[in-house]
Amino acid sequence: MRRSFFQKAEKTLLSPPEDRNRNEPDPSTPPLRKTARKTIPKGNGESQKKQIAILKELAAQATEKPCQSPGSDGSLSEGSKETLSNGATKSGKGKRKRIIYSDSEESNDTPHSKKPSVSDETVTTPNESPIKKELSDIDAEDTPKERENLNDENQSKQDDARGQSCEKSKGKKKAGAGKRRQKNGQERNSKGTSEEDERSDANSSKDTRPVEQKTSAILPFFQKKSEKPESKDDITSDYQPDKAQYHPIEDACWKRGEKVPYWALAKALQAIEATSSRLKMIDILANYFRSVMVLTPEDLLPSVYMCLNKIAPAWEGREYMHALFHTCCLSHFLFHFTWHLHAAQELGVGESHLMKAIGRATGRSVDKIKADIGNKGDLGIVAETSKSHQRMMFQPPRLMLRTVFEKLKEIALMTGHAVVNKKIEKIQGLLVACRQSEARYFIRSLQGKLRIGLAEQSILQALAQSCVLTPPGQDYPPEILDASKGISSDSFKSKLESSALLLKTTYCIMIHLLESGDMHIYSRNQEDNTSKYPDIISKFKSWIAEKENHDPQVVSCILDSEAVAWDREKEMILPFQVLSTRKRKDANESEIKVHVCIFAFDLLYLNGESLVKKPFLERRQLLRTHFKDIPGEFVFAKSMDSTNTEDIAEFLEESVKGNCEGLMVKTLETEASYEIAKRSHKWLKLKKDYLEGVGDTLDVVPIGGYLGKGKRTGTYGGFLLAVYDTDNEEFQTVCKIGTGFSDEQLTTHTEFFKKHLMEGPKSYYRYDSSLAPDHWFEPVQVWEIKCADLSISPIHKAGAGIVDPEKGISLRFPRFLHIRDDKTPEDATTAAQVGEMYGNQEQVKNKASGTQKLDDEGFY
Amino acid sequence: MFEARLVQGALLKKILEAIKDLLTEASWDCAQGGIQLQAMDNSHVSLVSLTLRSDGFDKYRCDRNLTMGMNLASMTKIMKCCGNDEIITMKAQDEPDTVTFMFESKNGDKISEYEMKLMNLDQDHLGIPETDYACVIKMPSGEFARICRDLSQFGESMVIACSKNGIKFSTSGDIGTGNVKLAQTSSVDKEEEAVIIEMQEPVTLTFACKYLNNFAKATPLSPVVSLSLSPDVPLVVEYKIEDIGYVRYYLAPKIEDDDS
Repeated sequence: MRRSFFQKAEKTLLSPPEDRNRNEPDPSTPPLRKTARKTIPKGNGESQKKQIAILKELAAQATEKPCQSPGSDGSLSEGSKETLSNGATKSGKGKRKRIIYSDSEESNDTPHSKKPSVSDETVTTPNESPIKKELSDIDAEDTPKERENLNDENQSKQDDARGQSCEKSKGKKKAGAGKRRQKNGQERNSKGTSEEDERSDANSSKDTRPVEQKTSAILPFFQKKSEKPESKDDITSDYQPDKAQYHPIEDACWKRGEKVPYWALAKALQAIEATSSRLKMIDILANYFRSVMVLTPEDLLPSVYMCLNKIAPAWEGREYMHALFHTCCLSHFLFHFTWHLHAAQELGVGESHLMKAIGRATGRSVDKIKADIGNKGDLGIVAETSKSHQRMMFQPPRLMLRTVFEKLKEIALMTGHAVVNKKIEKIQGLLVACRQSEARYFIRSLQGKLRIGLAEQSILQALAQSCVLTPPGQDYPPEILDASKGISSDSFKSKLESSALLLKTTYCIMIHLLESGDMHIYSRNQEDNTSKYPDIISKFKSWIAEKENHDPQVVSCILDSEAVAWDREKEMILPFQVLSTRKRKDANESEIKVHVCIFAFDLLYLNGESLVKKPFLERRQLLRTHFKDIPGEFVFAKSMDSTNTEDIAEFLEESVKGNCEGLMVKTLETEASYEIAKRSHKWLKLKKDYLEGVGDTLDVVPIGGYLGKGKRTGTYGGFLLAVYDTDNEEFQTVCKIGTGFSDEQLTTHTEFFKKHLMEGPKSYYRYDSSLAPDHWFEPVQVWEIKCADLSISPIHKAGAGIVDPEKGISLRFPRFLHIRDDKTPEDATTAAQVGEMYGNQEQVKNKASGTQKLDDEGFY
Repeated sequence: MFEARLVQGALLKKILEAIKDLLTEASWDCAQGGIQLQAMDNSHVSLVSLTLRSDGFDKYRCDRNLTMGMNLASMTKIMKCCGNDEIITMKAQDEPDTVTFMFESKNGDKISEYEMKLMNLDQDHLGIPETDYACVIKMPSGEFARICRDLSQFGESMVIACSKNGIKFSTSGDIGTGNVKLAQTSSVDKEEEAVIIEMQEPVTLTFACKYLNNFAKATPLSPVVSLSLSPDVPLVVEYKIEDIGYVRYYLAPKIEDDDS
């Protein structure tokens, strides 16, 4: 456990006890700060020696105790200090009672903690002199009985800590060691008593506090390593975003205008992770958003990004959002939000770097962390549970959401010399400040996956819900806190639906033309691909249809489209892989070899007006009037209006021949409004392998397994599959597989293959070292799998030499169907067959013959 | 108005070298009595405390207390522009946004001035208790640097054990173990070369080598280093800077590994 050796000098000086009792902690700058840190008084050497000696003794006693409560770090040192003061009280001086103040930071975190409560985590003694005095007192009148008392005290203090783990009010200071246990009971029953107690404590302590004392004596903590603090250590732990009847102001754990603590988000995410009900998740997140919107609207955008695991690019300012917040109506706000999301960028830091950072922050070796991942399956949890082997000088202050967000952004944007190390250092710096589950979500944020079962859809839904419940842009205190009150649940639902609709966003390649003339191109996963397609940008203007004077030109629009690689000579679509060979970033227009053709199929936004609520027919009409068809560059997606499923199947068949990835099916007029990315009956995506008889099935042999992560911890998460090459009598890898398994199947497979493990691969396995699985299997079983496509692969070895001298063939989108018990591994699909299947594909045939012209009807 | 003139410009360069690897940024607190710097590394494991008394400066003026947050990497760049025999003058206004470093050559025929932007650092200032340590060891600083360098090749952490026979530094790692024992020097000819141990009780503590190596960067500042140890409190490594102050490093001990 990380213990602080030193305490912040100012914390006790600045907030005298009576202040603390009376009002909430004031975060404003402490007046005494300078002097505080400048004058480190020379201690009275002798009494200090004694102090150390006594504390050591106490520590020794404590470590002997078998039942030291994990997580109640600090309880010991707290106990010992308490004992000191109690000892003094008992030893005749009588009147001196002392209170130990909690860390000012901690209390700032919680608006509710208006009373001086002792956090187990950081305890400070108000000043030095009373302790010394008391110490000498103890020394003078230290009888065996006293000692016993101290022991007892210590013990009971620990019991206390354990017993009260869920209590909001943490161990309050009281005088009188003998009464300890009894008081415990009282405390649980009546808070009033203990509060009263405190007040008197505070008053008397004020009396004994010499004003001129400037520096607090900081006792080092004599405790051996213990677990991470549990939630009880934290005042903020009572933030419950999953509470029924959540009140956005009262139930929040921070105050208006204060920065949102990262803890609040972590807690919300934790609550979401713990539930499996989607509606509940949305509720929890919406509750959190409501609090943020009402109390600290500036933190809303960072919150949403953090939930989405995206980091906004630097130029998309917070000010912009803030302005929107106040000026725009709700729908406008939400719509702009979706715009905003498109500009988000991914933040990925390599897992090995994260492990290094965790290692450095905790003093553990990377090997041990790696071993932990095998057991726990998630680096976030490993980070959370990693015990620190390195003590700290001082516990860093609590993380604020905005700080975390800004730092993540910095990390994402860092470039240049030795950038990896700098990133690790930054991560490490934040990691040491993480407490409890914060570390888990922080690491996951860095990994780019939160893994809490919260899809983007739900996040946007939650945002919509919170906007409806607690509309943004109200004055404080807001009049409407819960808009669902007083209206029927049905009408509320419909209200919710309408705003959620606006929010949902699409995953297609989108071309945005802004009024300023700037263009952005976003991919399916919302990566900014603008720099990948300079050719589109330069040509875009020529695609806009020229208009008569009275018709408005296109000044801004969002175009939903698909970019495909296009062979200009043969006038046909090239396979998907060709497109992916384009340079990904900062492509130079003159160097482009792979040309793209844009298939536009929808227009979502035109000249400042959102079209998403208009029927598709109308949107398509607008698209066609405002843009023109230029073959080979910009084409309206061919469409077929049909109500008949057979027709659609036929159309798909055709489109497969035309090298299409698939079809988008939309309804035209009934409910044809644009529900972005919603998998509803209004929009369907048909892929060829979803149709019976289009995909191919193969019989393959699993030869290796990859250990599962997350949900699949403990079983294999993926397998390496091979086909049999009869000529060379070897197994050649053909693909990895991870889909199509039920949980039971995975368990069965795992158990089965555990019996057939091998130390290393057989000499007759042909594989690429980059694919080496965690465990190798003997060739014992045959699986039937289905795939969408076969493609040339640089890493898989199946049929190498058949279609390409070196490269093999791999399967795209393999899915597990069932085990073939009737076949032996040698009867599996052969490499030659795979080669044949590859050659039989329509795309390949087209490419090979070249003469066969394809009709455009094939597309969409 | 703040102004501090240091004839031995090289001293400030050495000080910066001694702290820049540990800290990325730090605030310099200037007051009547001198300049202080206190900062923790980003993992909060070690703490640097630097004091430069005003009487150690050739000329020192500080009308009002001020805090200057500096990026130490930027400051290093500026200090690289300063010759070893040049005189450094630091200047700043009250409530400064920038600090000016002026470098004068010995004969006064070259003056260079560099202005650096300050940063707003929100740093915690800690009250460091005066503690009586169980063991205080004084030894040649070069020897200490050497030991840290040698032992850190073997493992990540180093055990420092002080008993009445002497002080033992030991480490173990994948390739093996290493340890260095130093005995108390019996006859003291030169105080700078002696190993002096003042011990109340034996102490054994484990520290991360990485930090000790960083501390050893202060070796040019002083021929003697003093290590103060007590069970379960941070190690103090102090380099006295002649006539002007000291730099102290505090390092939190490691918790003994029991899962290895």
